[in-house]
Amino acid sequence: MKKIFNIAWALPLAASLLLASCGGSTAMQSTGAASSSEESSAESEKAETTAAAADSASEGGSLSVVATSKDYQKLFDSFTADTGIKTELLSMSSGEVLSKLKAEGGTPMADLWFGGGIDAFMSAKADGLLEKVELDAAKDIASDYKDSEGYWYTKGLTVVGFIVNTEELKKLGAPEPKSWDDLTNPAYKDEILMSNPAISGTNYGVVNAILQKKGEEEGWKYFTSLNENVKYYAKRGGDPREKTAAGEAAIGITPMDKKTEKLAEEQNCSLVYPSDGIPYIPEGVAVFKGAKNKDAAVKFLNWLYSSDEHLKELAEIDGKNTIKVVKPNIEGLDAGFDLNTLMQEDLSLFGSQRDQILANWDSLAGQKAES
Amino acid sequence: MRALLSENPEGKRGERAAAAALFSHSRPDPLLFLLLLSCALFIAYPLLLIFWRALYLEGRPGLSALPALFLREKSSLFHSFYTASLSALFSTALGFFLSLRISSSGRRGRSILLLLLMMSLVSPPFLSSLSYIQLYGRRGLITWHLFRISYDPYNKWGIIAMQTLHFSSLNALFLLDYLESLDGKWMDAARDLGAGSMAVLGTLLLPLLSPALLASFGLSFLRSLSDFGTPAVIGGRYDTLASDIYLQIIGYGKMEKAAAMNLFLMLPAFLAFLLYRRAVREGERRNGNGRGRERFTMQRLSLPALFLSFLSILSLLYFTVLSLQYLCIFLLGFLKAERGVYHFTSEYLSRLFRYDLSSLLLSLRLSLAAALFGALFGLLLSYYMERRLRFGKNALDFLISLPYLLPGTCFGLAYIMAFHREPLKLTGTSLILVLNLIFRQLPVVIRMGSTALLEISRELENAARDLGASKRRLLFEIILPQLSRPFRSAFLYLFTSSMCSAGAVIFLIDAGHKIAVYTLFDLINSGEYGTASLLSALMILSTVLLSALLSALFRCFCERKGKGRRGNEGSDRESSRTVHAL
Repeated sequence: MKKIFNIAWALPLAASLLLASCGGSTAMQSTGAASSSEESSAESEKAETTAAAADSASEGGSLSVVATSKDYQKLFDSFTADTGIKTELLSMSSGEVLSKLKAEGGTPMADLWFGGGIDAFMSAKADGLLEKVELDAAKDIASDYKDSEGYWYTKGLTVVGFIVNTEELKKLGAPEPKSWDDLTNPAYKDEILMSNPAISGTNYGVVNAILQKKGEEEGWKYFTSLNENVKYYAKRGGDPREKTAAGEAAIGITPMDKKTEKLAEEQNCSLVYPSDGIPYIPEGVAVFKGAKNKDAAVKFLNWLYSSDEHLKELAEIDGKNTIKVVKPNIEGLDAGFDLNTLMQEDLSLFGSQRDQILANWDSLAGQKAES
Repeated sequence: MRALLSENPEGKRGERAAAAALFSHSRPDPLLFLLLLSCALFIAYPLLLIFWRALYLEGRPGLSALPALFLREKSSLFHSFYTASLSALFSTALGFFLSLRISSSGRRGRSILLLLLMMSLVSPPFLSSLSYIQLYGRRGLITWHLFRISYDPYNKWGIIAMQTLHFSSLNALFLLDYLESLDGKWMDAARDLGAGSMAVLGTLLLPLLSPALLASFGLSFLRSLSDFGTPAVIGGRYDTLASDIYLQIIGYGKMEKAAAMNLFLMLPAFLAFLLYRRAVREGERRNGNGRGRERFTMQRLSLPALFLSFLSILSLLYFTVLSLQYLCIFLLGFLKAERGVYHFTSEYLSRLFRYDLSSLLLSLRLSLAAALFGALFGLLLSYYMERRLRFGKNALDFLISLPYLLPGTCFGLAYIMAFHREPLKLTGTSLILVLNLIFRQLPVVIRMGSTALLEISRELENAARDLGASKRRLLFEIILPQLSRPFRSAFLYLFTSSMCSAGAVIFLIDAGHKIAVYTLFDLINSGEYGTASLLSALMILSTVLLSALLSALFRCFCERKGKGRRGNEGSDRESSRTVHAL
């Protein structure tokens, strides 16, 4: 009995020692010569072979993707069917991708970055985290929607509007807001939810677009009075629509996508496209600098942008046709709304102004912090 | 009674311990060396890298910008301190009362209560906040639809309420474990001497429990400091330092600023730590030898009816709130709303099974690995810290506590920084996930180990040593067998907490290693609440089932061991029913 007991204790102990000594031996190696651990050398070998395979023939290889949603799996599956390149999809918010990229110091966890507010892509380019890519179809893409040096491209637009909880508005006895200017109506005090523009690319797009439309001075004045009505600035992009639908607020500022439509449908909320202009923010696409499967990533981008069929497939997944704005010569696709209702935005300012705008924002919104 | 407590062969024991320490100091133990090396590599090194960033606050090395930042962040630091103190206080008190109630109940009631506590340990973080809002929000089912109170939970009280609710379960399990390992003979002696049950509770039980109470308080305090999810969802405009750090990293991309703010978080943590160490020393002084222990449950100490009914009402309330939360999660998975009207659907269920469930299997595997290695590692380390280390015990303990106090995001980032380069490249493997899970939760395991060691007599050890047992034999044949109970607790704790831990591991996963929490996160982000609810129900069920199975295995194993060894060592504690007996 005693023996059995001892063995049972010793087994996991031995394993844990193994684990510890494994850590120990790698530590030794760091002080020693440039020998590398088995696992990572095997990995880089694999990377080399996949890169070679992707180069020479159309079969084999792999592509690792960070996207904003898992829904894109379908698109990547048809890429795999066409090319034989296996894809793995991971979804992450662009803020998370950026901070992870910076910590990884040039050894990115994935090859392709698919979707997310363009401000994050601009910031990543400025930090030298993206790879320059020459696309076959680049000339067909409207100049606003691609980086002039080819570090990023776009795959569509996120447009912004309001989700309105009709029942809550009724309780307030307030009218449904029709425009951005309506939101400053004192009747909505503490009834508006908005995400922090530092967290949400969509809401950064709102702030930048309105500042451009109204001008610096008027624009900040507007946000100061909007601040009076905002209950608080959510730290997650999805918060405003979720909480508005749950009745925690009457109005949420939200991206107008399939999820928002579904939520509005389920929870009896209505959606409002503001009449004084719809802010929008392009969704970026880029290849990471130092990507293991760079060639496969470039191959995917060419596969996507050179074929209207594939772009239409993307539009179907997204539930919107804004790719028409990015690549105007797509046949048989209609943007679905009057492009003139979009706000006039100079997208080139999105990246350069970001730090300044967010700093101003912080001091404005911070004033109302609870103590 | 006082005499009983102070009767302590302090002098002799101290001498012998000193001699032993001197001995172990002169011949370094390779096992100790390995343990320390792992701590250095997997805690100190990543933390050093992230704190190093704080020096580059102005773009070049220097500390001059720190004071200004400190002044700016003063209010969130105060908020953190405030909410952490109250959450820790309430959750420790609630945990204490719950453990008293559970210990006073019969076998069946006990199993049900323990099951609920276990479930709350496994509840995945995002969904609890979602169900919290649905139940207690401004238009919550309970607050608005039942009681017509329009209560706005988005302030510090929302945070404190949610954290208290969440932390109490671990505290209750921890305190129950400690309470029932006390020597029942003392209570009997006190009762025989004429003390009423309330007097025993106040003058004997409370002082004896004080190290465990303080450990609970300290851990809850640290946990609250590092929690960024709750303030982010429920805090509204109330910022704590942890939620601010999260915002700085994810929103502004300011790693340096976030690192400096992490430094500030260490301030309250250090205070809590000092308090805790002092209490432990006090507890050690009070808690005498453990010879001839008798199992203790509150049933032996028949509490007055009034106090018992107070405990019952409190527990009933707590468990109602918990059950409602689970009911809410399960129901969300079967109800579908259309234009605000709910009806039954099995749509989400069929969608769940079409979904990729391999992430759940990976989670279970990783959590089991983390639990096994983490529990062993933690208990060994706690033994060396309590009994063998002569210098630097406090410093080591503080170092080990740090990962628990940093917001998960930061510890995850620290791991990426430390282990992305060639000689130490671990990113993209499951090893980095397991290591991160282990070292983040290590302080809890260490507390479990050292509180358990406090009540294991040193005399047995000394006797074995006098009889010529080698250090290795001492460790494997005397100490570790006595730690089987904390091993079980530590294992189950690590397993359950690894299953639903989110902050750090979300950062460390890659496309090849997706864990269940990530899938859940993904579902919630795409607005699939129904499917998310079912997935989390599945996570809870599989974790609880597996825990029950393992717990039964342990019990079986310990009972056999008890039979085989009784009489052999004399003081081998009676194998007792498992805390987590389900």
